[in-house]
Amino acid sequence: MQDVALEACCLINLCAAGVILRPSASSPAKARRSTKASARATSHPGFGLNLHIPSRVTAETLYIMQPDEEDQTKLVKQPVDLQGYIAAGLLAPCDFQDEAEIELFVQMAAQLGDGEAACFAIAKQRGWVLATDDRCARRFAADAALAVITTPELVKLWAETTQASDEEIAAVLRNIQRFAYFTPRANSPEYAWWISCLSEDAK
Amino acid sequence: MLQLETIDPRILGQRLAEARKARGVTQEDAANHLGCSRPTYIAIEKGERAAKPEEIVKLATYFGRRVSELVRPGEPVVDLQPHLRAVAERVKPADQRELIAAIGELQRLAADYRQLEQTMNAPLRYNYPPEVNLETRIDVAELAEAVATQERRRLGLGEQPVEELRRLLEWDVGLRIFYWPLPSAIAGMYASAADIGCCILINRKHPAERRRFTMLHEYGHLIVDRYKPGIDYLSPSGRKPANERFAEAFGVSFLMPAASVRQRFHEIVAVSNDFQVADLCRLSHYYFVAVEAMALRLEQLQLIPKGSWALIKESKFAPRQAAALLDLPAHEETADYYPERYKFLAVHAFEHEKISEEQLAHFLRCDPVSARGIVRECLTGRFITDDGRVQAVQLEFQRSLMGSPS
Repeated sequence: MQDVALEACCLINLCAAGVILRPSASSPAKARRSTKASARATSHPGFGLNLHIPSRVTAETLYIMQPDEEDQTKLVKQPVDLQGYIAAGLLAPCDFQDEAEIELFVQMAAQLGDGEAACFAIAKQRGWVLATDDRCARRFAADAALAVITTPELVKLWAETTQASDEEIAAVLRNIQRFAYFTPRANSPEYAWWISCLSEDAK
Repeated sequence: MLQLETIDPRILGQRLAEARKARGVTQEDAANHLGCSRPTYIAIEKGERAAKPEEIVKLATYFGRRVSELVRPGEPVVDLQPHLRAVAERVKPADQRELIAAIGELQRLAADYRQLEQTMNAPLRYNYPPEVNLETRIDVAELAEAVATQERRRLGLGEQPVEELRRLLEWDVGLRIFYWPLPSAIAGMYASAADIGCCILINRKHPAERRRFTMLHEYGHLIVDRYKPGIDYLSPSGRKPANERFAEAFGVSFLMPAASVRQRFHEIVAVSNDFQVADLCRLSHYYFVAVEAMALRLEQLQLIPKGSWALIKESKFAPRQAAALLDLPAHEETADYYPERYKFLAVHAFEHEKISEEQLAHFLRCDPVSARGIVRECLTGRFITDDGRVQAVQLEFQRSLMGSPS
C-alpha cells in the first residue's frame, strides 16, 4: 500500500466527509456520522493508502463544522478526535526518524507552517506521497519532484475503492463543502469533476 | 529543483533571544536544555555559531514557539517588550503571568503584521499627529480639548460621533491596534518603534465603549509620549501625572466634542424642557460611550449638576438594562484580535499563494477551518439585485481592473 503524509488541510476535509474516515467506537464523534456508505467505508479502511500524520499535525487542535445539537440549521465548531482515528487504525502517527528529515523540516518551516513542513520533510525523505490541497505546498512539492495527492483525488480514490454510488459521492462532497468550507479552486483540474458530481446529484 | 533560502544565524539568534526572554528563561537554562555550555548558547544567540536543525527544534519547543516563527525570512522587529515587561513586573503577582503573555503576543502580532506587509509589499502609511510638549503650569485638560478638536479637524471628522473608531485610527492614522485579553484592571498598553510605528494593545475583555476610550487614551500617549511605552490601568492609584491626565482628557474630548455635546443637550432641553436619565442613555448611545462617561462629560461641561452620576449610580442604575428598555440598537463593533487591514493582507497573501493555509491560520490566530471561513467572508461581496434580492458574489481578488473591460 502507498504511504501518504497527510497535511491538516486534507485531514480536516476527510474528517468532514463523514464516511471516508470512520473513528473508533470509543470516539464521541462517531455518533455524529451515520450515512448509508459508512459500513462500506469501514470495510476498506484507508481506501488502499496508509495515511500518516506527523506529531506536528496532531499537536494542533483541529476543528470541523457540525450541526448544532439544539439548532440543526446552525453550524458550530467541533474538535476533530484524532486519537479516535489513530486508535481505529485509520491514521498512523509518525515523527522524524533522522537528522535529514529534521534538517529538511527546519528549512521548509521557513516557507510553510510547522505541520506542512513536517509532512513535506517526512514524505520527501521517505519517498511517500504528500496529501495536500495547499497551493504553496504543492508548488514546493513540484520543485522537489514530490508526488502529491489532493482532497478531490482522495475522494475519487475512495469512490473507486468502495464503488460508492453517485449519491454517496455527492453526499461526501457536500459534507466537505459544508463542514470544512472546502471546494477545489475553479482553475484546478478536479473542479469540473467536483461540480459535475454535485450537479448530477441535484438532477 | 527545490531552492531553499538559507537561515541567517544572526536573525535566528535575535529571534531566539526574543523568544527566550519572553518565556522568562535564562541563557544558562537554555544552554542546559540544549546540553551545551553557556558560551556556546550565547554564540548561537549572537549568530556567531549556526544552530543545528535539531537544536532549533529543541529550543522552539522549550520557548513555546513554532519552528516556522523562528526561522521565517526577514529581519525581526525591534523588541517592544523590555520596558513593558519592566512595568509588568510591578503588577500584582496574580496578574503578572497574563500580562507578560499579552506583551509577548503584542510583539508577535507586530512581527506578523510587518511580515504580511513585506510579503505583500504594502507598507503602512503613517499619518501621525504632531507631537505636543506638556510644559509645566499648562492647563492639561484645556490643551487636550484643543488638541482633540484640532485632530478631529485634521482627520476631517467635524463634530459628529465616530462610530468606527478603530477602523479610522488604523486606516487614516496608521495605528496598529490589537485586541488581546489582559488582566481586568488593565485597560491597554502602548509601544512604539521606528520600524513598526505605534502599536496599541487593548483589553479585549472590556466592553466596546471602554475599548474605544482606551484606544483614544493610547492615542493621546502617541501625541505626548511618542517614544515611551507604557501600560495603562483603569484607575491608577494616586494623583495622575500630566501625561496621563492629557491622554484621559484627550479621549473624552475626542469622543464627545464639547460644541457638539452642548448643541445636542440644548436641543433635547428645548424640546422637552427637561433632561432625564433616558436622555442621558440616548446621548451616550449616540456618541457610543458609556453612560458614566457621558454623565461625567455633561457634569464637566456644567450642563448637569456635579454629582449627578454619583446619584444615578447610587440608585443601582443598570446601563445595559436601560439600553434594552429604551430599545437602543447594539453598535456594530469588531473584537478581532488584529486590525482589519491585517486581516485583508493575510487573506490577500493567501489568495496570491504567498502564504500557506497553516500560515494563514497562524496569522489569523485561529484553526484552519475558521481561517477558510474568514477567507470566504472576505471574498464574498453582497449586492442588491434589481428586484430587491440580496445576492452573494464571490469576488476574484486577483482580477485586474487596469485592462479594457470585456
